Amino acid sequence: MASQPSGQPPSGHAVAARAERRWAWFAGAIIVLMLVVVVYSGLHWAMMPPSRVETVDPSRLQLSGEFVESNLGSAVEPDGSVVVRFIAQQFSFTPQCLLVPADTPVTLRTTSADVVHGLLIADTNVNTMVVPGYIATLTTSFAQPGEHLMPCHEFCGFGHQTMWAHVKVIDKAAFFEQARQTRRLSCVAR
Amino acid sequence: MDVNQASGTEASDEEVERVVAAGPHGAIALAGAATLVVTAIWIGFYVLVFLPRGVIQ
Repeated sequence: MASQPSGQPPSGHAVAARAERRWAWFAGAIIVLMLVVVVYSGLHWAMMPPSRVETVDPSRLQLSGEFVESNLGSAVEPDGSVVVRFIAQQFSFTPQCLLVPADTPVTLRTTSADVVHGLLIADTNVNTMVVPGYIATLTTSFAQPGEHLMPCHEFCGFGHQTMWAHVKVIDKAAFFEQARQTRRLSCVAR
Repeated sequence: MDVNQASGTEASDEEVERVVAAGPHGAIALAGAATLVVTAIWIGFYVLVFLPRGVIQ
């Protein structure tokens, strides 16, 4: 507005200035609306990107600790939630098929044995990087039984396009029935 | 040099002033419609795609 010629009659200038002020309020209101929605999501559901930093020695994953082969898969916790542990490595996830119950809090814990990977679970908001030396942890819940693809979404080498797993969501009762018989669950065909 | 010179007269300046004084209705309509479409898409994705896909913590 300040760049308008000085010979501009005040009426046109005033009209334009008023329109700009109104537009600024309108744009500001939209920004505030979006911020309110984001803050409400964060506070009401505690929904936010996982930000914890938890480290692990990637050279000893298979030898000891949480990610030894016998501990991979889905485990039922004392509080009734489920923790799924799996490893990403060129060019597969282990186990290749994750078995989880519907309508139950599920915590995914994963790390990489080699390079930087990533994963997402189709039709859900699960989406994380998997970085060697760090444990990626996120908690979610699957509303319906079904099957989801879980591809690696971070280019990790020439076999990247073949790196994907399945997440099989089954009925809650059927899952816990299976969990009574097996310490760690997965849906890998044996 | 002056682009207004060819048709530029005192009368046309007055006409421009009259149009400007009437307010930028066309610009507001265009920008408003575009902004509302984008905002509606944002809200639509939030309500219809993001929320149904579940909470991540």
